[in-house]
Amino acid sequence: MAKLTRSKLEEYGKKAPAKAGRALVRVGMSTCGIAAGAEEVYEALKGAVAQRNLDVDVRKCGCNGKCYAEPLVEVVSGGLPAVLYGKVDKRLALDIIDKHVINGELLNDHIYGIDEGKGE
Amino acid sequence: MKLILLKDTDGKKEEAVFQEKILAEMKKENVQGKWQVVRVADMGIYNKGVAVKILPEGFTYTGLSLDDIPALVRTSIKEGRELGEKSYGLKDKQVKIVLRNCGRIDPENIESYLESGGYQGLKKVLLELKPEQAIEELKESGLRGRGGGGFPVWMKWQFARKPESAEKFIICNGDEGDPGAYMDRSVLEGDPHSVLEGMLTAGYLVGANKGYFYIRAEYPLAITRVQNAVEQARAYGLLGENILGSGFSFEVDIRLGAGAFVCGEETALIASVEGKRGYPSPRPPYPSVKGLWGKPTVINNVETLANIPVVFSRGGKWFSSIGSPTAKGTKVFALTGKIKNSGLVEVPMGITLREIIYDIGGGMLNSYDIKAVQTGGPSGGVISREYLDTPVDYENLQKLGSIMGSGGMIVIDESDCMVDLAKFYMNFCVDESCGKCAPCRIGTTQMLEYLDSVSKGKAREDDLPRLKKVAMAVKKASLCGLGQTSPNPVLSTLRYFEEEYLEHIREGKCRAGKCKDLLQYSILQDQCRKCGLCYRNCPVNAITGNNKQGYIIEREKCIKCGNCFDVCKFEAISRG
Amino acid sequence: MKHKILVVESDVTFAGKAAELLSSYNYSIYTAGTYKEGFEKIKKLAPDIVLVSLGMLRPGSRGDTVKSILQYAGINGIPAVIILPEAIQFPEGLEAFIEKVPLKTVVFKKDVEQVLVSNIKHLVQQAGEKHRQVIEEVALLVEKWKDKEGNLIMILHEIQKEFGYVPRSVAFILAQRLDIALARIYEVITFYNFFRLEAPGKHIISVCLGTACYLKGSGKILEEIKNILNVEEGQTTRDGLFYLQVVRCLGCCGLAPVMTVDDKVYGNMTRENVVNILSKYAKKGELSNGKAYKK
Repeated sequence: MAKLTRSKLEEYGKKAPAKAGRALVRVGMSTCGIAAGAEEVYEALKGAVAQRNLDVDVRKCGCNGKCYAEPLVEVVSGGLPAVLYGKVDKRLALDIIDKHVINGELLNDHIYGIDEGKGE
Repeated sequence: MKLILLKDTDGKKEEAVFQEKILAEMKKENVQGKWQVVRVADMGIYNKGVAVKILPEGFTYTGLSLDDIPALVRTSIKEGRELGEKSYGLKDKQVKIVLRNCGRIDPENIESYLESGGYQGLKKVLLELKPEQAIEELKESGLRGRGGGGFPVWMKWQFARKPESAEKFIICNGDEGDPGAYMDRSVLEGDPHSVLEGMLTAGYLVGANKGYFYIRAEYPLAITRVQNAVEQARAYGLLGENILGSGFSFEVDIRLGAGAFVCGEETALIASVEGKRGYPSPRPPYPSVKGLWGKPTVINNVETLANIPVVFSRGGKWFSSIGSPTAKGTKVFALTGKIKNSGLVEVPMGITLREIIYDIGGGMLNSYDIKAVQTGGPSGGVISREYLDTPVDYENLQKLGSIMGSGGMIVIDESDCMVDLAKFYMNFCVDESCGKCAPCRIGTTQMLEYLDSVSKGKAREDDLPRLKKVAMAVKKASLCGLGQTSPNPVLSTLRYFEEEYLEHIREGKCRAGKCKDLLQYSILQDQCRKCGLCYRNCPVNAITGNNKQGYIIEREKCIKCGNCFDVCKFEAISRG
Repeated sequence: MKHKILVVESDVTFAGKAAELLSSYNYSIYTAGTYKEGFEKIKKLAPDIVLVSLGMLRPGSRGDTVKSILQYAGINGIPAVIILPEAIQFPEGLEAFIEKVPLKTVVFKKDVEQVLVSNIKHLVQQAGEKHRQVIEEVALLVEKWKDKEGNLIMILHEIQKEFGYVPRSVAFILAQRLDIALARIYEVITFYNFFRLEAPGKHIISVCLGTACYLKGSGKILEEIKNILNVEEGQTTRDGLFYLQVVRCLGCCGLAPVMTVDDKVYGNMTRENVVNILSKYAKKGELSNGKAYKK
């Protein structure tokens, strides 16, 4: 791996947050999330994406603080604001992929936060 | 895409009716374009009736009735104008600085951190500012230590910067000892590079070339993620020789704690990093002059260090625009206990406890009223509910007999006993007292004995002044912070809840039903349906009888575990 | 280095004979005249082999102390030779228990002389092999950390990770390797809660008694586990399956009350689901009938 230089770092600084068309699914995988079953959810999401042959970036991330609603899954896709789903289990994970990611359809009763500013 | 979100914030589950009504109205009004009407599980608004939020405009309405819907749909959804009277003025009260990346970036990938503005603060310090300017910036930010004491960070760094020494050290204190605080774990797991960037910045400004992460062994995932971050930073040349061509070199190592609360104290922590027993030593000399292996050392806690990159990337002035007059920036609290939304919250300094508990935390967990809030863990104290409107900062909490501490915030309700709580913390302090100095070693045990006798109904009224006297002695005479603050839970509960102590002593009564020895369980025969559930759940077979004649509790055998009370579906067990 | 053999037998002539038989093989013999003494000594001496005679069992005894000795030997990897006099009747359950002891040999008292020596030589070889392995492992650890100052705590962490605790024999070796006093090592181990001096059971149950968990009733969870398993904090169940400990905050306060079994975290615990969770680790049906660990 090449060492970071001043100019390279400056580029990172200038780069506007990538607005790639690729959907991003984040799973909160800190100790608390994992304790609540995030690993299973992460695997389910990965599996679903692979099975449906989708171009979706499923990523691990840290804890956003809403421990009461773990496991947490955040979806940034299709020009929609970032949507945070809480208390996600394997079944809901599949719904998230099939409805939200594929069809842009938000799921009722499972959303714990919507952040207009924080889509990447 | 227009999003219409709705939620019954009173929890009466009225959402479906409203959703239908909105959909019907929209059809009637023939609203064009793309939209969705979605029921959400949490809107960040609590106990304000039915709430609707319209995106992307951000119109928010609360306390809606079905009659409000037609106007709302016509004005706000169709015509895109705000509807005055039901508008909800309040904004999200959280401000995320420390947790800015937690839950957003991939903590196992340095690219993810770089893409979200990572290492820009370090770049500025290394390549653009003179060290004096950088310290000045830090001073302007008003950042104070987040580990407990609230000492100004710039001053600590300045002290360690002054002495001439070939070797200096930076230690990141990640030995989160307060049982009930876990923001440090969360930051180390969710955004390890921000802490590393903070350490690098400190290293450069202080003139240190070596840093240590001191992390609790109980946090294996945090350790792994930090290790990973360190390796990636090394590969990117952000650790090692001549970082970013600045001539500055820095290396870090990880050291694990091993379960000793006292190691949160600076001098004890240093002893532990040196591989010894974590005994504190008297100050001065302060670590900034004579610390790790006798060399000038800066110890900052995880949260403090995670603030550093932002101070420099956004500037000290910006940073100081957030917060209260004496405390700038934000504080992360681990909001737990009897609260609906248990979790980490990051709020600007100066926010009130009430706002944290009701506007962010969603209010109380059960039907019990709030009794008090405990902050600062075993070194802090309780704050009674009369003071919920106090702005939270270092000085205010201290005035109320508690401390900011590392940021544990535990909400206590009427079902909790204050004597029991004080005893819980004192048990902790007795276990964790290192034994080096007598006031703490003996004093904590004595305090525990008094508390124990109160909770058993065996204390006398004149024991309370004695308890206070011991507490004051421990506070004044102990060697280190652990000892000096250990009486806080006792003194603060006595300050606000002395009548509860007296009730235990005079009437032999524990109103919360927590002090076992004061309880008697019995079966109310006229309520009992003879289902036998208590009989089957008694661990010591103290309940006898059968489903024809009914059951009784044999007092001599009963261990007062409360299982029968918990399992009974007919409120047929009396406790008192 | 001499191997230590502990002989638990009240028959002085027998103990003496064993000593005589084995003396030419460079062993040190320690004796214990009662099972209780045997249990104390096995913990204190950490012998390489233990010889337990069943000849001291009184009629009607359930052999509980013998079980404790064999269990301790089993957990700590100490080979056991069980000496069985011809006339002895096994107490109920003891025979089945002995079956399960790893690394054991049963010797009948009548052919003691013929069998004992060859058996013990074999076991000593095994023990010696194990000992050598441990020495090598410790040497590697010391090598890895030797240039770093303040390394002792980190080495102890690695040892505990490897062995589940810090065995006395390993502490001895470590002191030699690091060229420091044994007391320096024990000073550190005993200061920090994290380090254990005795082997834990196969599964480590940690109940969080942090403030959030405490307020939400983790005390009751702890009581329930104690009831079911019949152990106290810091103890291992008789069958060596569970070790129970209390911890101060696992950092999962949002899920309080919390307990862990090994690395798996269980949040929002209730008293009722304790049995279900523990059952996953116990033999099928053993916990649900509630008898497995009752006195």
